[in-house]
Amino acid sequence: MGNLKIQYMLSRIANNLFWMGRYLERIEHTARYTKVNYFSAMDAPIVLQKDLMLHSLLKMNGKGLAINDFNEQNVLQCLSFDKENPSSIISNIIFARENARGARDIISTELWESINKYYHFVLNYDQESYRTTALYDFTQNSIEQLTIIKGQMDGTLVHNDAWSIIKLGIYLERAAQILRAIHTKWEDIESLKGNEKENISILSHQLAALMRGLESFDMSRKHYRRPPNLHDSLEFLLLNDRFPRSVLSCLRKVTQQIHVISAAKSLTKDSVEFLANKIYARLKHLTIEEITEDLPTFINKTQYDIYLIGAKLEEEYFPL
Amino acid sequence: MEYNKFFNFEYQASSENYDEFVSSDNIVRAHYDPLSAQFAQYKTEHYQKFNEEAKLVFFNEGITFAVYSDNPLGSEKIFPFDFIPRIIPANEWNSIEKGIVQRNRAINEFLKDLYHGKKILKDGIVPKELIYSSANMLSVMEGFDPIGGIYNHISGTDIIRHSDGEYYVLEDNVRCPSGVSYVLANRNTLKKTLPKLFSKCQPQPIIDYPEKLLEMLQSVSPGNSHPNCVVLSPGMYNSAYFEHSFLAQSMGVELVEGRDLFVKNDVVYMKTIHGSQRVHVIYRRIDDPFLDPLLFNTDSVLGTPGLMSAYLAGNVTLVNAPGTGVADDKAVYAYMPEIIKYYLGEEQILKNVPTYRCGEDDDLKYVLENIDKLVVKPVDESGGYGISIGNTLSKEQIKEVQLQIQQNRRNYIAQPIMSLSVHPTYIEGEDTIDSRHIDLRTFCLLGKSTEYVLPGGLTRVALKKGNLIVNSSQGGGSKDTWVI
Repeated sequence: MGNLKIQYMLSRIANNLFWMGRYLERIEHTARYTKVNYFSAMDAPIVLQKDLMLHSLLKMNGKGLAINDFNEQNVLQCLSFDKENPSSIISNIIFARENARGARDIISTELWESINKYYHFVLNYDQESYRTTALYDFTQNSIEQLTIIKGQMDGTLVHNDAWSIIKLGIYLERAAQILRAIHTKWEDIESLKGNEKENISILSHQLAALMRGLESFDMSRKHYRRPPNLHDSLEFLLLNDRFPRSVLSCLRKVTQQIHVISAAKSLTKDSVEFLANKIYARLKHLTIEEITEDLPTFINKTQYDIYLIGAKLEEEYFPL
Repeated sequence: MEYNKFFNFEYQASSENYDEFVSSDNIVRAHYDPLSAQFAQYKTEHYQKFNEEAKLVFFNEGITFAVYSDNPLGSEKIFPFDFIPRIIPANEWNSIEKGIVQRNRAINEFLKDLYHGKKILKDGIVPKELIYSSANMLSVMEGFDPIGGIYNHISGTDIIRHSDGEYYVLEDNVRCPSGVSYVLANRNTLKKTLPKLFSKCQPQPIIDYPEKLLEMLQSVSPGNSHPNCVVLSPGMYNSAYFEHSFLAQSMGVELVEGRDLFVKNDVVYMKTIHGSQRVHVIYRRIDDPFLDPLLFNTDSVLGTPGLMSAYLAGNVTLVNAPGTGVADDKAVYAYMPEIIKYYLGEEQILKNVPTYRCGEDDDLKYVLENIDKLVVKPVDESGGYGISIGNTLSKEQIKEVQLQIQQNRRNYIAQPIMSLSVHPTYIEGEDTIDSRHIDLRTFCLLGKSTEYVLPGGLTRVALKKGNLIVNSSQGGGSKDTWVI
């Protein structure tokens, strides 16, 4: 059985797995952003925070609601259980499970079961109680079950092409979600601007929510040894190569995983590997001062870069 | 042991059917003693718990099937599983096993003959009209020699036990028989639910089925020492998708759909992230008419254009061979004793149910006059559809059936109403244990110089009281089957 290094990964399956990774990652971000911001609004320095928080949740999710429909219950419902909303948690777990089912023979029983279990958890959740009293339970359980799913992914799959492709989906999506969270929070901060004294407390409150929403609050405080400020927070989330929830770290892993799956091919200038390396190298050599000169432009540009990597990856390895 | 102390329920042995568990004088049959002793320790709460646990295992593992006509979302159902296993004594099983191999070997010879010299027709053993009128006879297969001379690599012979205590073959399935994944899932689930009983009884293992299947597939590969075998599925919305993916996964081969394959110069390839990869053996779970739009159903998107021509060029093996359907036709079934004798020179080991062929004048007359005593079946429907059971019909319904038969005589056969044996079964909702009708789907593999019968098989149980139709699409469930 010498020559077993034959690659049998079907293109269609690769596409399923890539998107499965993206859908799963989205769930985690939606759940955590919702949980953190919902509860942090309760101890906000200014009272008008609740509406702003709800708008922020929708913005992060990329979903608008008609003015007449805008109320707390509708917003929460829309984020988690609206099947019409393709970015809701329920839509994403339906998509992710469908993709996992389509690749059932490729992934481990453990991974499949953890996804299937979470799917049933969401589908059978008491939505009424979620909208009124159980938001914490639902979002926290979602985050924890996603952690289990990822644990099964890393612990029970062979780290071969299939695994690399799922991870590619996860890292690309995570980079996109981090940028989106920064962008949304940036707009929240701008829209709250008042006098100088207020601004300081708004800023620190919003930054804390941003960092907690990306599970980076504790670690950044440890890293900088002071309460979060804008400079530190952005540097940590964008450029800290050793923090797994930074854009730079995600992009580095993207280049590494692309290298694994492209090992059979030679590196050409029009390949996705070349593109990803270039984008990673560019970001690696930026300073936070350069970035904050014009943060919105930087975010737009980087979001577009990430979109390009995803599109090119699909085109090169798993066109449908 | 007296029956009524068992299960802590008043288990009522059936008077008109063969009861697998107790004899007609209400004594537990010897091979059920260990099970009976173990279950005597349980109470209703235990049964509820077993039932819930078993359901949870199926649920979490996503062991489901889809029912046609439901919407794609939320249409998956758990295949109802009964935790009381059915036991077949090893000595009985040995003769069943021999009978299954004999029967499927004979079917293979029959197919070879039909697609070559047609001697059996010339010798007048099986009427020509029966074969020539069959839609399942594929002219493209004429004169073609499949590798190893095998047509029905995988056969699912359905067996019942009648009130006389004898086993009978009810049906041969040599197209794409399904259900084997449930056998393995049932075993797996029951091991988790009743571990003690397992070590006590030690049923014959079935866990190596995927290995045997792969071995068989590799044995019929067109010349490659490391053949690439794949499972071809219509996709995840097919009712048996769980089984397709289960088999691919447990054999460690790719699960492909028609769109993943393409044919170039009569060679089949699959599309992978690193380009194309040759395919040698296809275990296809797609029916003949959908295999290749160039040759059969032109608007089918399930298959792969050019697949048949690659097959006929000998560059890929299809399992089962196309055109096997002509042999498991219910009208051909009636001739099985003669077919076995003709090719193997042996008497049939497993009995055939006496069958009336409406295509023949004498038989037709008898059938029309005795519909109330007969089961009438269309010859080409699967899944228990279109069957009428005489003693359940009203006068108007009988007239209707008579009319249907006369309109298309060739399409119907009739058999005496066989009484399927019964088995203690847990009744959900009522929390009791009651007798229900069962049958047995067996699985037989024929390869190039390999043969294998899965010990036991899929015991299907009709969960509705008195119901004789055990198919999952008609509300049937299943049991683990132990050969001890």
